[in-house]
Amino acid sequence: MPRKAATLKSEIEKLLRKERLAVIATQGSPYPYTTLVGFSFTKDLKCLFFATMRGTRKYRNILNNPHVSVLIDTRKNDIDDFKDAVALTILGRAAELEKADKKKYLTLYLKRFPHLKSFMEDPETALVEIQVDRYIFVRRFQEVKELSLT
Amino acid sequence: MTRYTVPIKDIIREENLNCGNKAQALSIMTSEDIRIPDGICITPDAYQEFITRTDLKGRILMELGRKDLKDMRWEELWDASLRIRNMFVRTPLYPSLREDIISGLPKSLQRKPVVIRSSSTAEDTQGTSFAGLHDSFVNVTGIDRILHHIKLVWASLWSDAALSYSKELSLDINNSAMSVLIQNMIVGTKSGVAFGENPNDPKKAVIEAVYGLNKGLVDGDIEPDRWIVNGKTGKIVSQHQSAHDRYTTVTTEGTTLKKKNLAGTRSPLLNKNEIAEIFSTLTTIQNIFGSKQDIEWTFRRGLLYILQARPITVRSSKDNNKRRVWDLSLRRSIDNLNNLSKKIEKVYLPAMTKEADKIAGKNLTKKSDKDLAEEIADRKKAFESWQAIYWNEFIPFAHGFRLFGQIYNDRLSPKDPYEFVDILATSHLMSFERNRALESFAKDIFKNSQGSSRSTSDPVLKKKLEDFIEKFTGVSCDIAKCENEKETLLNIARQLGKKSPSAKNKPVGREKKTKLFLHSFSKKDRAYAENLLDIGRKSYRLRDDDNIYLGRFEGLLTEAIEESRKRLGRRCKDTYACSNPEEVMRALNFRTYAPKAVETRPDKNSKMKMRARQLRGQPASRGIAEGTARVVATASDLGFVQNGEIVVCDAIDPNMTFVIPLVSAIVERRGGMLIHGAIIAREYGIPCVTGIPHATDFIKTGDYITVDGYYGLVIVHDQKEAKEKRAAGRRLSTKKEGIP
Repeated sequence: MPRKAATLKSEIEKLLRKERLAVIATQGSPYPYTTLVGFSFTKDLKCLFFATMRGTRKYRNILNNPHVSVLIDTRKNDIDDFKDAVALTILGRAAELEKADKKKYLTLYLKRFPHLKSFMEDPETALVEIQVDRYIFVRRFQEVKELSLT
Repeated sequence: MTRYTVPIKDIIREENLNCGNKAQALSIMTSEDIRIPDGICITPDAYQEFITRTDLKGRILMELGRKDLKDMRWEELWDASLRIRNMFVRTPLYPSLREDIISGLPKSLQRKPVVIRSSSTAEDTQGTSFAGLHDSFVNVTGIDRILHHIKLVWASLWSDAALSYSKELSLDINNSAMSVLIQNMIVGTKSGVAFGENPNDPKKAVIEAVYGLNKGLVDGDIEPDRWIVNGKTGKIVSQHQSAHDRYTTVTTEGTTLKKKNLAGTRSPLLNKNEIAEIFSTLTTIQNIFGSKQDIEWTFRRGLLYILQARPITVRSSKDNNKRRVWDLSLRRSIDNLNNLSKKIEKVYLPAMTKEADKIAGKNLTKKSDKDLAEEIADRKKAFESWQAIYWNEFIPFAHGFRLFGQIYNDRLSPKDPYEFVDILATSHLMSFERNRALESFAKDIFKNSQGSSRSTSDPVLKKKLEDFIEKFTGVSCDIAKCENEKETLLNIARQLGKKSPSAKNKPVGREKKTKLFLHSFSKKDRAYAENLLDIGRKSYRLRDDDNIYLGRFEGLLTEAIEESRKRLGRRCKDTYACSNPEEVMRALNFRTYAPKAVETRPDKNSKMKMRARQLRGQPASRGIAEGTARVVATASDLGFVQNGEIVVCDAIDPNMTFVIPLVSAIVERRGGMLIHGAIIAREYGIPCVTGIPHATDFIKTGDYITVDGYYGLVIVHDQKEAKEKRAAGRRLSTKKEGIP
């Protein structure tokens, strides 16, 4: 069990490196809205990025309410998951990156998802940044640790 | 042969059939005309099918997922294993599997007594096996009892010993399996073992023999006759004769140790011809397998039967993990426990009281600094030497109630695997006697003061307090003497006085359950059952009381350190360093020295904040409670405990039991269902979760927490939630179900 913030941080980083897809929940009305996205992250774990078209429901939801929740996990859809799977919930605020920043972080994003190059070149595609407020790390079914960055 | 059974002789003919090395070796031997007891093997597929179709697989997985096995103490492994064992016992064999096994079982084995043995697919491979990981049962008769014991053998794939070797065995829910051997029971007149290689001299072989069955020899309860023979020729080199005063024999079910009439047992147990026959068979077996072997054998009506053979490298595997070797040595037989019980009651406890009384009679205030330092050294030595006896004798004795629990569960299959604790808890525990006296004293204070906090200078109150301390000073380190000049005790008493009498847990149907247990044995075996119950109760009581006996020595040491602290005055700035006997002694001997503590390094990532939201442990006493946490790190923290708070500590020790009537739940780092904290929580009917790693690091005094004693979970609420909960004044009352 991680005992120190540094250990927990490195476990979270390991998970973020290993997994590439995440479920993002945005605030819809009246229902919360979940969808699957490809994500990248900064080494200090302060930011996550994902790409989306501006016409999507999640983009619209974020414009109305930037608070999002992201889930990343290691499940294999097997009975062992109840013992071995790890889940990470990330709470933060999402906003589209402005031009200058987009250029900076696009390289990072494309390094992970080179096959999305043409999708990213589409003028309707936005690169969204999530500023992380808190990580909630769950393992062994019910063991929960939180790491706050702010 | 059926879908799930195969005769032992056919095992080697079947491809892709992994019945484990034990079964494989028997099959090879029978094909080479070595005489072995007839029987069948229940294939590992039967085990896998059973756990998959009954959903046991998922339940075992959840049990094992509580915590890393490597982080579990032996007691926690035992608890996990007990719960898994009970899952097997309570899950019926579904009809098609039951019918398949019955139809594969020859009629002769269905009527006569049989031996049911484990043959794990991971066991007995060279270099990875350690003896006694899985269970085998001797002398079982009738279909229902056979089927019941098959499940017990399956369950032993997850025995506490196997769990502690899980890494070496690559124990895994998907790939590990257990096959079961059911063999004709050979009730031999003399039995034993033979080793193709003497560990001290590889050119020699060793033969050991006992009267009756070889269980007493294998369990280490009976000393055997021993012959050292030449490894090539079988010529006897030396022989050692034992007392021949006991032997193992069958009872209605299972076996028992009996005393033997010494008349006519003076001559060696085996004659030269018998030794030659055992040696010759051993040599044949070694030639078959191409390696030195370790065999078990028995003689019946002049015929030699081989019960087991395995490569000698297996048994000689050395375990370098000393702690694990020690843990496994805690498993004791009933005979061993009977001896231990006598020694503890007649020798150790009286000696502890005598020595502690002698130390307590010394006047510390009159000693010079140098003499006081010597006194600390003496008290430290006394404490450490009794602590060693506590580890080597008292803790193994605690296996008595574990053994009882296991047999109780096997006989009665209760829904709650800890139901047996109700039967054991009839004993008069010393700590509860103290608590009752403290509660009565508290009521007096409350009555005299009408609830107001009166000062310790009140002469009536002072006298009552001194009387209480005087009365109980003989049984423990009284906290009032050791810490904070009685104020701690008074604070607790004041809190207690305001509280209604503690609701003691009175388990339902204690007498009925005791009767049920005893009557689950035949009249012939009733004495054994009563002995088991007696040992169970004694060891359960000692589990509580031994801490108090040992605690007294620790208290006497603390008393001497307290006296030193007063004298050292300003040099004792660091409270933690001044509780270290070595540092205190040095300061007493050198006037300029001030006790020092070890420095700790700050966390580099201090900007990031980590907090635990939910912590998983073991559900040690049922119920749910919410409240403010009170971390108790030292005895001095006890005085601050408020009514309804939740005690969070590393391990409940005897000093802390004073506050338990006040608190609404217990959270403990040390794991186990039968540890002191769990026992006392069940007795007071409050929830308890044990085995929370670093509990006192993750939970702080003042945190608002929920303790779930059903599932074994502690939730640490954030400030917002805590505020809301406190404002709502919501406190779930502790729920009791009459069972722990």
